[in-house]
Amino acid sequence: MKESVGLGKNSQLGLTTLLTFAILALAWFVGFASRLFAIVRFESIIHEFDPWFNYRATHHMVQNGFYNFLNWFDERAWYPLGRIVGGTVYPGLMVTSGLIHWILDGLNFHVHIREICVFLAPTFSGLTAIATYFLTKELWSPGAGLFAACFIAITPGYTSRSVAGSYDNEGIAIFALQFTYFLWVKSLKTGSVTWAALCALSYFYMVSAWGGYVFIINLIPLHALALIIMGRYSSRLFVSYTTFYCLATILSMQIPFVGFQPVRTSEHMPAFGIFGLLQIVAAMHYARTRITRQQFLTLFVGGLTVVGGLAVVVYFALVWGGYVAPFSGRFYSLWDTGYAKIHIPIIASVSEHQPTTWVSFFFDLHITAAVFPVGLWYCIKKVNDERVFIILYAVSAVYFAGVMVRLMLTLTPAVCVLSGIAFSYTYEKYLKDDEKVPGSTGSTKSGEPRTYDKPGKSKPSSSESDDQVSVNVKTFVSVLLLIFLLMFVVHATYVTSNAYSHPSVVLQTASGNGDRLIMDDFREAYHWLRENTADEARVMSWWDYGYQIAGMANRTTLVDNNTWNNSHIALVGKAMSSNESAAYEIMRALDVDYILVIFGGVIGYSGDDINKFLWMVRIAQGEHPKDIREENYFTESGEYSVGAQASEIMLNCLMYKMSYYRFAETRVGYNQPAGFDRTRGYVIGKKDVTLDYIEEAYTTENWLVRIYKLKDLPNRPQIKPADLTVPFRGKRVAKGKNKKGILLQNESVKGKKAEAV
Amino acid sequence: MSAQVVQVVQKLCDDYVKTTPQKLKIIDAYMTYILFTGIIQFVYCLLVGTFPFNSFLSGFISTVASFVLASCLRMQVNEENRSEFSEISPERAFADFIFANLILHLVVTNFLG
Amino acid sequence: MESVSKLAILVFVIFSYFVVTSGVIYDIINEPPSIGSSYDEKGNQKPAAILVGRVNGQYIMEGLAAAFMFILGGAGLIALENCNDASISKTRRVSLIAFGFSSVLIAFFATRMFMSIKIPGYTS
Repeated sequence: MKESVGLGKNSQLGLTTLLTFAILALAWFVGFASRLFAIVRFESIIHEFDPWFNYRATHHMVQNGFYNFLNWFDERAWYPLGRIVGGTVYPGLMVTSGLIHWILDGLNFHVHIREICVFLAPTFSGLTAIATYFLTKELWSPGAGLFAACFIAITPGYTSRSVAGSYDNEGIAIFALQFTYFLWVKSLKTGSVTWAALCALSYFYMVSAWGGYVFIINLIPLHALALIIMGRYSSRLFVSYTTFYCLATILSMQIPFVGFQPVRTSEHMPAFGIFGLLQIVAAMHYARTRITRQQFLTLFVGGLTVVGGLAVVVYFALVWGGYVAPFSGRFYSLWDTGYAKIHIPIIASVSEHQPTTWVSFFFDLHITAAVFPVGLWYCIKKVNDERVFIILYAVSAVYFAGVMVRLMLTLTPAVCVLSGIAFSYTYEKYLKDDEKVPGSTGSTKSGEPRTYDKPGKSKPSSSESDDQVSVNVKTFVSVLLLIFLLMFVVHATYVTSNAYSHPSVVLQTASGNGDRLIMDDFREAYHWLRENTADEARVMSWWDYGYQIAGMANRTTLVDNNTWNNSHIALVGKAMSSNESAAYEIMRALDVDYILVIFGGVIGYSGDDINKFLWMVRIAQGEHPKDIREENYFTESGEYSVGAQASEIMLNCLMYKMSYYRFAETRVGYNQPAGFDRTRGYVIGKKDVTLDYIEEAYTTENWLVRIYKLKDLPNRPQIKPADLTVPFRGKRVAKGKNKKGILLQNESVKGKKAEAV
Repeated sequence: MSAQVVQVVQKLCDDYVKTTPQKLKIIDAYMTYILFTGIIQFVYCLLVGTFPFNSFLSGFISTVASFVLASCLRMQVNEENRSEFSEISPERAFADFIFANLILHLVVTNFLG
Repeated sequence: MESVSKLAILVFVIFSYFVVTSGVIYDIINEPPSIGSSYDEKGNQKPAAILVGRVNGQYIMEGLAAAFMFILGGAGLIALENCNDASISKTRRVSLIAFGFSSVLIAFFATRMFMSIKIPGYTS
């Protein structure tokens, strides 16, 4: 338009800033809105399992103050061990919500802490979009930044862990991740100490928020190493990395959970190694200009090999001596993927830790999964210091996402950044005006009106030489890419709405005539526990439900989702898999009052405890291999079944009895036989279940949650005197030598004579 | 071989004394002082033991980080590196140095225990 | 090390992306069959290429096919971008555009079709 060309740069800049601001605000709004499906359909509650603990901790902090939260010893979890919450939790999430609550309270906006917790993740998704914009702007251009921001606002890979109600660490951690990366790239580009210090502060926030900070503290050294190897060492790298490393290390040790790990575990050693390497390289760089090449080479080669060898030897000596811990199981299982299944069954049993299929890639990323290598190629083609970083991030994230479904979340920001770059670059080529046209026609006519000219052989297009694609093809391709972007939005909304917005606390099905049936059994059971049991009652259940019981029912639990004590969980698993009397002994030793099982046989819920039972057996077998053997719970042919062919041990174990007590008296459908289990799809093996040591306390409406109470020990039985085998002397001796109360020996006690009583 | 190394080191020292300006020598003196305090702390820790570990770490990291920040300042103020740090004037470098030291000492004080 | 050319890095990256996206680690750990089988009306066995119903399961062949579609789509986009160079002849340009266009479309619709087979109700 002629006006914008005439008015000059200021209005251009103003227009660009306005557009940028508007687009980012829209991205925030859309990201926020698309995460609200669960709130609209049900209500504003906390979802799933882990968020319930985070909510309980935040509630405790808001009630009792920050220092009481940091020093909290929770005796209502992991009975009788208790849990040191202050030292085993990442406080960033709680502190963030608490801070927002405090600020709003200060402004006299009284919002209940639950609402803040529920809506925290969608709010931070908008901030993540802004951080991604800044990161991509540093890497490529502002246009790519806007694309990337819009991608990450709605991409299903990110919304999966940040819907409203999912009050978990990842909601704020991804924001901290992107922001830290942006600050790192900025500090590398400018070589300024301020940016590096800010990067360290943002890293501190990330450490307080999520255990995935280990990724950052290994990726940044890897980047530095790659730059050194590629010959791109510069003083800016030295300044930014060394400042970042020193400040980041001491900042990260302020979090009680992290403690001294940054100087003691193998996961943090690469950062330290690169720090040392950088000092050496800087010294070499300094020396290179001042001495001859020959001398430099001797110093360089000799010094480097000596120091390198020394470092490796020292590292292994420290690991052997126990000063530096080797790689922990969680991170080792990322490299050796078969390790977890054999050695740490708890890690292997979580469904999120399974390896990824192609469907997860497409589901979470849609077209960005295909466009992502294109962006990567462009970064490789036009490589500079910052783009090496994103290349390394992308490649490592792809590998880790392939190993574990849960880590798709760390891949998503890289994919969004690179897809933004690819789309921006392509659109730049396809939407840009044809600037090679000579003469005055080029400046006044923009590309837009020309596309509406007659297609094909009109005069302006024939005056182009054959070195550009014709304009019609350009429009066609642009429109095609635009349609793909629209499909991405449709897919993202579909996936978020259908797959990732389940509260898990409330189940929903459609009845025969399409009506919505809500099954609120979980909350019903927890409410019953809350109202009808003593305050110090102890509830035993499988560890999945521990946080929910503690959060909603407010009762002491034995094991919960923290899974920090494998033996305690194994004890619970052993109780669940033993027969009733053995289980009763274990439960009495643990002071259990109530047992809770999830049973989905009536409604066909497939996430119930019978389906998880094999994991209970495996974990119990790991600790008590003589008492519990996994093979005993299979049928003769080696299948896992609760039907007619199930083994005796299976049919008599506590879990079976608790799930199927009185089940044969009901029918799940009109034409189903008695004892037909809808989830398993066949009739159960043993229909007459009797309970000797426990009694049923409560079963919810759809039989989903069943609560049992432990019976007290029976009184000692009364034996009639005639049946006694040992004769009972009924008569009392009142006189003579055998009178009660007389010492027979007549000894004097310290000089005094014994006296008759 | 050792004679060569000695020669190289000697040449470096001579070069250093002759060519570095006054500003940088002051920073170098500060850095040597920090280095000495760091060494003393480390030797003390080896002699007396690591309890309390957090105090040792905070003191030691304080020296290491101060050393590093001083070396960064030196790099940025050095005229030879003007091409790399074109946007950072010496005053800005010094202000950054103060800022980073402020953060460092706040954290160190918190960590001392 | 400038000796490692950019093309070599690109080939390595594309290959590793292909391998990971096809779910190779899932294949190694769970060892699913290469192609599943299902029964048609008369009781004869017929092969089923795609594991229906579950998002967290796949056969080896379908993983490879899907990963290939991703790479094809990416290659099409690169071709579309490259044909804007001034230095290539007209026939080459036309063929590049045709390749780019068709591969992008094929990749998109094929993956969409795989998904709709896998999860009934996806395209509604």
